Amino acid sequence: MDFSILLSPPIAFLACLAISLAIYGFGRLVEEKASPSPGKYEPYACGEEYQAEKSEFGYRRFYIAAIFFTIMHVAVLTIATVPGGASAYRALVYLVAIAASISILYVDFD
Amino acid sequence: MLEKLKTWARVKSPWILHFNSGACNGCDIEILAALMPHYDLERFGVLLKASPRHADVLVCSGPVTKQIAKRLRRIYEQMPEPKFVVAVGACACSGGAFRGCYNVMEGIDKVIPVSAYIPGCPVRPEAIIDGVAKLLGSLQKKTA
Repeated sequence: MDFSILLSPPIAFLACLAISLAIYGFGRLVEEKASPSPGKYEPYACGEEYQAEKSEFGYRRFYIAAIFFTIMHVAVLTIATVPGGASAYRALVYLVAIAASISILYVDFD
Repeated sequence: MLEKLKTWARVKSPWILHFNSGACNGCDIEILAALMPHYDLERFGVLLKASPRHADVLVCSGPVTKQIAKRLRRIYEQMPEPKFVVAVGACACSGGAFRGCYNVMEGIDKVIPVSAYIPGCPVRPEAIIDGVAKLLGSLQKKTA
C-alpha cells in the first residue's frame, strides 16, 4: 500500500488535528470535576486580593511604521533600478501611487 | 482502570506549594531541608511549585494568623482538584505555642480541610518525609 498520501499537508494537518482532539478529549475524560468557589478564577497574587486590570496591547502604530518602511524600501529599490531615458518618468507615477498608499496609513478609520 | 491510572500519576508526582501561614520559619527551614538533596523528598516525585495552579498538595506551616486566613483560603481555592493539605508543625496542627493568642486561628483545619498532620516543633525532615509517604500511601489505598 502507498502511504505517501499521509504526508500530504492537508491529510497530515487533519491527522494532527484528530490526534490533538483525542488528547484533549482524554484530558477532559480524566479531569476532576472542580467545585465552584469564588477564588477559583481570581488571578494568583500570593493570596492577595488582586483586581485584574484589562489592558489592550495594540500593534497598530507598529504596523503603520513597519508598512511605511516596507513600502519605502520597495520604492527606493524601484527608483534605483528604473532604466534611464524617457521611460524613467513612469517611475514618478509609481512614486505618486506609493505616496498615496503611505498617506492612507495615517487615516484614522476608527 | 482509569481511576487507577489517575491515582498512579498523582501518587508518582505530587507537586507541592509551600505556604507559611504565620510560622516562625523553623518549620519552613525543615521543609526546605526535606526537599534538598540530603533528605531528597524529590525522590518520591515531590516537586516544589511556585503557583497553586500547578500544585496538588498545599504544605502549610504556622498557626494561621487572622490576617493570613483569608489569603490561605484564597490560595486553597485556586488549587485544582483533587487537592490535599498537609499541616506541618505543631502550630499548623493546633496552634502550638501560639494557641490561645488573640490573633491566631489555632491550626490550619480551622480555615481549610487538612489531609495530613505532621506535628513537631520544629518538624524533623524525617517526619515530613514520613507524613508525605503516608499521605501518598493513603491515596493509593483509596483506589486499591
